[in-house]
Amino acid sequence: MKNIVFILLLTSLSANAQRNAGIIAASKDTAFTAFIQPSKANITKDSLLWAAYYFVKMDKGFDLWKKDQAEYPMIGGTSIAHSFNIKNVNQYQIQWSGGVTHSSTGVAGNGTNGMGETYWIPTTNNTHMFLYNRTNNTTGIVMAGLEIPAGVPYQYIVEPNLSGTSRIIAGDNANSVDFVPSSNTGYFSLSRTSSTSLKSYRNAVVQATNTTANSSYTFISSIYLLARNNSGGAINYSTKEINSISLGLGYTDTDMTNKYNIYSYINSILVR
Amino acid sequence: MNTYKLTQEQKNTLASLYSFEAVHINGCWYVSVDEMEGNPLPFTVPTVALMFKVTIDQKNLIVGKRYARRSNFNPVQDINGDWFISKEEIHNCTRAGFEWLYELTESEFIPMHLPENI
Repeated sequence: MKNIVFILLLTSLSANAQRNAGIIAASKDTAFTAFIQPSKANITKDSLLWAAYYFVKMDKGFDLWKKDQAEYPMIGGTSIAHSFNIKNVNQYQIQWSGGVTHSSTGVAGNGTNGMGETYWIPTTNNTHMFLYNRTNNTTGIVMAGLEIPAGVPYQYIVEPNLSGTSRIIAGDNANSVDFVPSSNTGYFSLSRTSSTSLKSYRNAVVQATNTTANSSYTFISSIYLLARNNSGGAINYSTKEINSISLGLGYTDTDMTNKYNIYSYINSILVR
Repeated sequence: MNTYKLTQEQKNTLASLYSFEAVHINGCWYVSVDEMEGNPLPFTVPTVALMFKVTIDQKNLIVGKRYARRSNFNPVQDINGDWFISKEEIHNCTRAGFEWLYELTESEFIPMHLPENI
């Protein structure tokens, strides 16, 4: 009930807030003000200010903030604006490499050498990975890291469509939660809340669950966007366009629904 | 850039149906897959990537260097061991001293690491 009231309050404020971007900009929220400043994402347009403000307020209001570690709303349309982590602009800033295209709708890879390194490393049995995919194709992998310790592939993948299947893994191949999506576009995510609880989601709806015990292997490679980090080298470059990236600790089903609602609203007002 | 690789005859057939821009390299025509989205092809043709070939010396000049804000060059090797960069890196490069990039020419790129489903 508290959450519903909170949503209604903030949503009702949106029209006024967009007309009064100066008030938003004067917010005392340090994460928001740090993100929009000229030396960081340099957000000045009213609708973008509102999107960033709404994200921070809602994320904190739903208590997702403490579980989020790297958060890239991808607003601003430039390589620099899309690189900053709104949770903490001094951590996990994305380094873009090769051919990527930034626009108001997100960031797209070229399928041959374009990718982003997040520097974020998943925690073995307490992790969520979330993104919005705008492109319906099967080229490459949009979010992944891979290591092969002792000959066994161990990886974190959120890929909306790899040869017709949504490939979602957090662990070895016995720890996959793949599914065949009804559409390749939308919000795709995984959450692992324990060694025996892994779920995949599309648009916050659980698609598959896996209770196979995960190993205690400690991953050391960071997650790449628009490619797979193969122990420090990029492979499987993607041509998809993505935005609304969230990386952090494991989410409950309710957390996933709240994150989906936040980004759905933001992306609707940004018309993307 | 992913493209459809066409013969002269296929290019002429396609031109009678749609308007598009094509690149001519070594006797073949290449049309952007993105540009043809929504325009079904009346024949089956291979899809290939086009990139810009650089020498080893040129690769060493740019590897890891910034071409735009928070964006680095990322030369990659093809299946023959030659080095390539993308049109996005060239078109978005705003740095002085890199004007030679505009002299590079496009050619087919076959990646060393083919997509794999691990």
